[in-house]
Amino acid sequence: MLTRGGIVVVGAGLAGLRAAETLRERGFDGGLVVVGDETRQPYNRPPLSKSILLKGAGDTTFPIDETLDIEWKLGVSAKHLDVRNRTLVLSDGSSILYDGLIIATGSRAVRPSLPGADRADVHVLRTLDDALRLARALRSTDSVAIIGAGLVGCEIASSSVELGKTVTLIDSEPMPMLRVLGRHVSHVIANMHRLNGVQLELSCTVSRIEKRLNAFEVALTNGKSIKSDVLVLATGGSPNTEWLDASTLTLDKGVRCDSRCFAIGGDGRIVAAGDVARWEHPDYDAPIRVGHWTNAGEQGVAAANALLDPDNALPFKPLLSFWTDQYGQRLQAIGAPWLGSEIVFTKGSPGDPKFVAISLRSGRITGAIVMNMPAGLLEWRTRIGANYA
Amino acid sequence: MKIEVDHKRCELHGQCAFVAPELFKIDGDTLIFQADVPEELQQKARTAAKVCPQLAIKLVE
Repeated sequence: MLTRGGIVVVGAGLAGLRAAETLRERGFDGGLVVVGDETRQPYNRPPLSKSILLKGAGDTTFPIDETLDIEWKLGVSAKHLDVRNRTLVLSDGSSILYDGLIIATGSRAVRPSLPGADRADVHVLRTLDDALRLARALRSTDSVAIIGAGLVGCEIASSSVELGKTVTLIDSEPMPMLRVLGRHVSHVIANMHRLNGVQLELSCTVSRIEKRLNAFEVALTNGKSIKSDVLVLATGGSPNTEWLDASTLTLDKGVRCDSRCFAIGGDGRIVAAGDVARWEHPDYDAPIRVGHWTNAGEQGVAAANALLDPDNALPFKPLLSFWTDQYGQRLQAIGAPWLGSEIVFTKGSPGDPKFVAISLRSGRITGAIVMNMPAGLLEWRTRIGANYA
Repeated sequence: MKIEVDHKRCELHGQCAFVAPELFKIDGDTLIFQADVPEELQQKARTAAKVCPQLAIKLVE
């Protein structure tokens, strides 16, 4: 059991914060440093696409127990890791020796490689600063186009409608959020957007982004050209692992970890958690990387526990869960609905304001999706238990 | 330890009721919780506060 020495947490998001708290709760009383590349204390991201866009302001900082005795190094990023010498090199030129390292560097917004996508006035949404910038841009304009109809793109569309904007939502898939919800429930989401006046441009990709006078023109492969005052790329995230390129750690679209969150290629003193970690979840065929809120917190706790007490560390096998709020509706999902080949509505039906849908594959439940019925979700969480995928 | 819930923030995600069913329950559209936390459930109460997406649960020692 590691109780002394020094532990460094790289990354000051939800996963890093929960990891640091857990170390102290479990009696680690050595030095504890948290490094974060943003200058802010850890803050909550789900409001960024919702209340922050709507209000153009707001404080989402996590409450932090001051007695935890954490040394914060904020506005500084990790540059290099020397596994053999247990040394972390930071962007300010300093180095830190550690006894244990928790990697929680998260992910960043990806800009697709197409002409015009790298323009500074084309928005992305990942940080609080991104959200404030987008909110400012929306305030003084009439129309917005959003490329990417995943969870974040759909929530930006919803908030933009609430702000009275004319909204176009573009995706290469035939339905919004298709990859995580499957086609039956994606269809419900598509209808929600249409009912709220959003122009959906689906099954098409963007070939070019241009700006003429003050308006963007987005050329689509279906021949259309979409004009908008504001343009947002909501095309997913990429794990922040470049600082590990020259290390001995195995990288595979994330930091590859074993089932207990220990980094492969490390020396048993390095764990990873949150958006950056691709770990061997025992219930899935291939290692998974999960970018959802609930997992960041849970994995932060699990990784810290594993680092402190490797001999007693158990595989990290959470029931995955996520939610989205759009047009005043709350959709919650657990497990892996996308792995299902059929769906059964156990309460309500697709057009109803409330429903519970179970996804099945070969007679086994892979996940559940619930609209506006948190109690219905709880019931299935308990029934699905741990072995669902 | 006492539980305080900010009902203006709570949006009934139900995460608390999943990790600490002894302390939190969702009844229809209402969150019901037990304010006084017995010693053996304090860790569960801490976990519940941390998994709340709305940061609506406060623990007073």
